[in-house]
Amino acid sequence: MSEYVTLVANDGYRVVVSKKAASASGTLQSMLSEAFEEGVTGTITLHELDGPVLEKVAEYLCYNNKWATGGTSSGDIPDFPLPTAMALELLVAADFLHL
Amino acid sequence: MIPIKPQTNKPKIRPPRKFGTSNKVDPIESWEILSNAINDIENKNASKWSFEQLYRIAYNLVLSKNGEFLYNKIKDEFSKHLNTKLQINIIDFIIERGDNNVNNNGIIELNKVDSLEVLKKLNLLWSDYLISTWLISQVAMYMDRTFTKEHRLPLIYDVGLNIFQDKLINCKITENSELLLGTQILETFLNYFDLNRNGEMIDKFIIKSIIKIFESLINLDGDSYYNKYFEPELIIHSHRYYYQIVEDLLQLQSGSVFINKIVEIIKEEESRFSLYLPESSSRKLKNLMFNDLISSNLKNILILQDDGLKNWIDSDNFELLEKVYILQSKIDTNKRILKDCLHSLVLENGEHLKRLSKAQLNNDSAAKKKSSNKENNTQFAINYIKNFLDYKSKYDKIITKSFDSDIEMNREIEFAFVKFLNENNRIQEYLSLYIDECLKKTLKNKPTDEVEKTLNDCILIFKFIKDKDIFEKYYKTHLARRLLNNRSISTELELMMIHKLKAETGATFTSKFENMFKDMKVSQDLSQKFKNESIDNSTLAKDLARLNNNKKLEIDFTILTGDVWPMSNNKAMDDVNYVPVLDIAKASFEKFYASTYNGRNLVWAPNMCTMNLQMNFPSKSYLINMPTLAAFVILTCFNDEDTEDGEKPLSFEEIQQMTRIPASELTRHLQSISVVPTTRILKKVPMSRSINSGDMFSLNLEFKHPQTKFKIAAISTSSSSNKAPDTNSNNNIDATVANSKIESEEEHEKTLQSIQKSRDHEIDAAIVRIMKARKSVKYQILVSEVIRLIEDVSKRFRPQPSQIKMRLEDLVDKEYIRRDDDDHEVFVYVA
Repeated sequence: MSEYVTLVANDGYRVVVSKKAASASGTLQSMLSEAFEEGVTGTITLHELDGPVLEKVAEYLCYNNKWATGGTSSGDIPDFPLPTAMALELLVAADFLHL
Repeated sequence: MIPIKPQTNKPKIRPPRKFGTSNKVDPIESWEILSNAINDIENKNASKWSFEQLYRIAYNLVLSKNGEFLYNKIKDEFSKHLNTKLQINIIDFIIERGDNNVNNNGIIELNKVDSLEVLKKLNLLWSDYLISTWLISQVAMYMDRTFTKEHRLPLIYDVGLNIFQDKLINCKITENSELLLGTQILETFLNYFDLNRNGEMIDKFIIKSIIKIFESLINLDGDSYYNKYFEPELIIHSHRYYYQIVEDLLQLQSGSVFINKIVEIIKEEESRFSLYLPESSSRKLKNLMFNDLISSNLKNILILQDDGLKNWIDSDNFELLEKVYILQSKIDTNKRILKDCLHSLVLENGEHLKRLSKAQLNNDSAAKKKSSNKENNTQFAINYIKNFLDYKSKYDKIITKSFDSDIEMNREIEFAFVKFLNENNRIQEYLSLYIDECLKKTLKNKPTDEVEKTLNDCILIFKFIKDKDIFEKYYKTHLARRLLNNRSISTELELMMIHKLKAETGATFTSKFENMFKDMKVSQDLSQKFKNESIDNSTLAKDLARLNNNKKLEIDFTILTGDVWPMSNNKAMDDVNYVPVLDIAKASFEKFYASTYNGRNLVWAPNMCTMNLQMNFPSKSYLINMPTLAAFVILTCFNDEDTEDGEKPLSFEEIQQMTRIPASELTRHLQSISVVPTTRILKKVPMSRSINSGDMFSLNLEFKHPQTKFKIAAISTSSSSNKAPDTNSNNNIDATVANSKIESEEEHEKTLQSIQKSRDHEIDAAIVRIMKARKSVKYQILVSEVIRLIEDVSKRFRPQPSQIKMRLEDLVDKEYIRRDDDDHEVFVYVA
């Protein structure tokens, strides 16, 4: 069983993240359940997300994976750069992904 | 989740793309897809579906305000699915296998294999259902997060579980029967469970799993199916099971079988409970079990005559008794039933004790020649104490071996001991007689630990008896006899006993005993000193020798302090004519004593002494030990050359005149030397058993005795004459009677009277002591203080308030105390 999962955006953009990082999203975690197609193929196609948003999401998943488990106090954690222009799109994506 | 900090310097925000490929979402079409997918999930065939797709459909349905539609659709789907599954997998199976085999309660009866199959099918169905419900709830997660939450509805997963419970409760097995699936399942399960109780092997795993299902099914009010439906049924079933066991066992009328079986069943059930049931339920069932098996029956079992507590104790069945104790502890920390049974059993033993002691007596005396009634009664008293000690040690063993050395149990048993011992109004006398026996015979040449044990046993009974002043009285009498007749095994032993009594009650109780020993010691020294002096004083020695047929005269003097010893002066003894040699010895000892202790007054008591007399009969000479007064009779009346070796008969009156011995004393001494067959030194005419005035006595020249050295015992007062004993000897013990025997009823009555008198004195003393210290005291306080002082502090007896009142009035009359002028309830000490 691979430790990584490939996320595919509706425009064909692909990004590979570790399953551990992906499971920060409730939705992604459920999708990885072995009962469904995604669990078998290790590829999740997210028809709701376009490339830039998915990229940002993936970036966030890694950022979260790196720091959330770090256990250091919040003062040491760098801010996550967020392009204002994408703010609303990301918000919707977060809702969908249960982030 | 790490908070995302917005960047404020870029004001322009791109609007999100409209979601959904088209704005319009067709709920029917969407559900069509979802419904198919759900069916596949339920049939474990989900892998061909993309989760993302299903999730997106549900997501879009919820976004397009079709949340409620989705929610209800899923619910219906659950229900429909379960109906089919239950019907195919379980109901059809039950009906087919049950083959219309319906019992009284309308339940279909299945055999063991089919029951197990049903349970297995149910378990499988459940675990599949759990997985599919979980997956479906994952697909519909967006709905749960938004719609369900907003409308405060139960999560769809819980709805799924609830539907399962609902089906189990309400689903009918067939359209036209009342039988519900749940009831059928419960019965099937419990019947299968009962197989195990009856000793059959069952599938533990399936039992555990099914119970787990029952526990997991929780309705909307938070009650689990287990608590609401299963547990009550389990309890009814178990109750029926226990009831049946008890009924079967009771028919056997065997307590031991009952106890053993129940212990076994409880052990099995407890392991069953801990294996299968949750803690709270386990507790309930244990209580039910203890109640059904133990509480309802224990008493009836214990009181069974042939195979109950009595029998087990008699046969030292420690193992079974321990089981009883453990069973009792399970239902009642106070162990009331066992205690009560033991209590009445011990009391019953008290009765048995009397019979047993009597029976032993009959066996003994049948072997021996017939002994006197009094001796028998004395032996009875000794047996009684001996048997009691056996009982006591029997119960001690039971307590350590079977009752976990339980202090409470011990207390209860001792409580019963105290009760039956004190119901015997002669117990103090019995105990003292037993100690007498020990210190005279039983403990001779015994190892130290046995001596120690015997003495401790005596103290144990001493602790149990009330009215210790009565014991003191008897002990004093018996001790006096032992000392004066030199019958104790050793002074050391005597002192050990007294030391133990002292440790138990304090110094005042034993001070008189100790003073008796002091007297004995002082007397020995004095006698020795007197002997030495009389050797130095040649005239005295010469006189004594001359008067004693030129033989050395040995005299031991015993000087007894007046109020320490249990006997009192007999004034009539002052008149007795002493034989000349003793008259001189007496006079010179009086002189000697007066020079040693100035101002002390000696009163002679020849009635308490014995004398060794050498008598030369035609056939043989004998050395005879006899009471001094009897010796006086012989020496004064039948030792004169002039009476032709005592052949001249003398009448009772003549003898009395010559010796001046009081009539009652003379009678009994004459009896011992002229009536008792083995010691008939004097011939009596007529030959009757009793001594009457006018009887004639002469020396019996044909007297023969197997031994050259022997002892003539005095006959005790009461058996010597049928006349009422003179009041003079009321407080008198006869020291010449060497063996302490039990008192006759008359003597006992008298002892009690004298006890009553000394109690009066003790109460007086206590009252005066309190009044002296307090000057004025209220009546109630005074009474309770007197009781405390005498019962608790001195440990003597429990004074009755009425007696105290009488003493108070007496003391008021004598003007030691008076009533207060203002308050009649208050007494004032008159200095």
